[in-house]
Amino acid sequence: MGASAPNMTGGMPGAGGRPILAFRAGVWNDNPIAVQILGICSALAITTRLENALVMGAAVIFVVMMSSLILSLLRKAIPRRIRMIAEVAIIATFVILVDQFLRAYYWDMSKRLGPYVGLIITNCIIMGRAEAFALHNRPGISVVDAAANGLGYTFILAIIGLVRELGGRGEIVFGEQVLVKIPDYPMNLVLTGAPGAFIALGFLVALLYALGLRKEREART
Amino acid sequence: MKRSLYSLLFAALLGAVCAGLLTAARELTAARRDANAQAERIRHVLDALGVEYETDAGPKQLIQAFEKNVRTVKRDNVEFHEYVGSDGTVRAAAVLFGGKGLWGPIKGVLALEPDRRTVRRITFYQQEETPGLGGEIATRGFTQQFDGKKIVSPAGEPGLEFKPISGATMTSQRVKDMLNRVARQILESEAANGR
Repeated sequence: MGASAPNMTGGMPGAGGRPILAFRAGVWNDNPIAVQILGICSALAITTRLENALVMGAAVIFVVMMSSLILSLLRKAIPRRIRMIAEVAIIATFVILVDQFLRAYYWDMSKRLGPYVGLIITNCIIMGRAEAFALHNRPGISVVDAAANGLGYTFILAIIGLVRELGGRGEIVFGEQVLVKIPDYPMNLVLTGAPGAFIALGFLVALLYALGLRKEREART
Repeated sequence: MKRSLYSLLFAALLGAVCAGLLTAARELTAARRDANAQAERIRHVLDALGVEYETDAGPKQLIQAFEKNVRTVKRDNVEFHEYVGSDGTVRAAAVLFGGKGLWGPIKGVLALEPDRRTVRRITFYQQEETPGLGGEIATRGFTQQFDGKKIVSPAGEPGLEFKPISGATMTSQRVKDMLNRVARQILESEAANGR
């Protein structure tokens, strides 16, 4: 494919046709958080614990894949002028459906996700992938792109969550299970609070750039 | 003109499909969702009272455990869920309480020892506070500090002292208000009954 599908992938030439490239771009080269600085509202808000970060990541992966699939299938039918409204309507419908389904059949999961479900609708990554990719590419590759971006988002969130939970509270807790506990650790309010999220994200982005993220970007352009 | 008409039709169709899907989903899951919410409340009452039940109990078993062990009595305006042992004595009594939180309603269970003054356990079964900050009220780490405390000060003032959550001043204040309110109600009902 490729010839028939326009590549409007946010400065990612050639990735429209090849799954491996689309995947690499989402997770690393064009990581939604570290490179595009998209979707950081939730990345900052819910990374107080590693568990929260992972649950949120899983929910976003699921929703972004499904909404990209449906929007890609509908891409030729959606009128251009009202496409954004259509995107929001589809994403919101999907998130609410997932929420209702979880409440009915996976109560425990729903309880943990509770406060985040609304945040998923507003996650810029989901609409970003719809606008930049799914509306211009076939369903298969759109789902790969969505999954990759979801994974890229999740792995950054997990690192920030780990740093903030371990550094802020001196423990790692999953549900009722305490995995790590540093005895007599004084609570570090900078890391558990909002400033910690900004600081951790800033250092993480700097570290990723030092590890070669930037070089790959420059080489591509 | 033709394009506008298409846009309008598309929007109407998309809106109808989305609304239809959501309505259908709501209707189809209503019974299960309500059952889950009720089971959650019952689970918290049983936990707070210290009633034993199967850990993997579904909604049905929870209701059974509740009906078998718990008797609900109303004194004045306070509804007590009493844990009645096999010998007929009351082992603990729980009162549901709630109020406004920071983002949404907070609801919880206050379980007392048979003296109806000493806290056996407090749990929160519904809350939408900020995860990691106010949301910590739902953790055992927070509720543990209430165990064994009195709902009345030595001077006779109703209320429960606790260590507020740093960074969640609003949530802590509202929890304090609702606990003081329920403590006052319990003491008034007890006084009216001559205890």
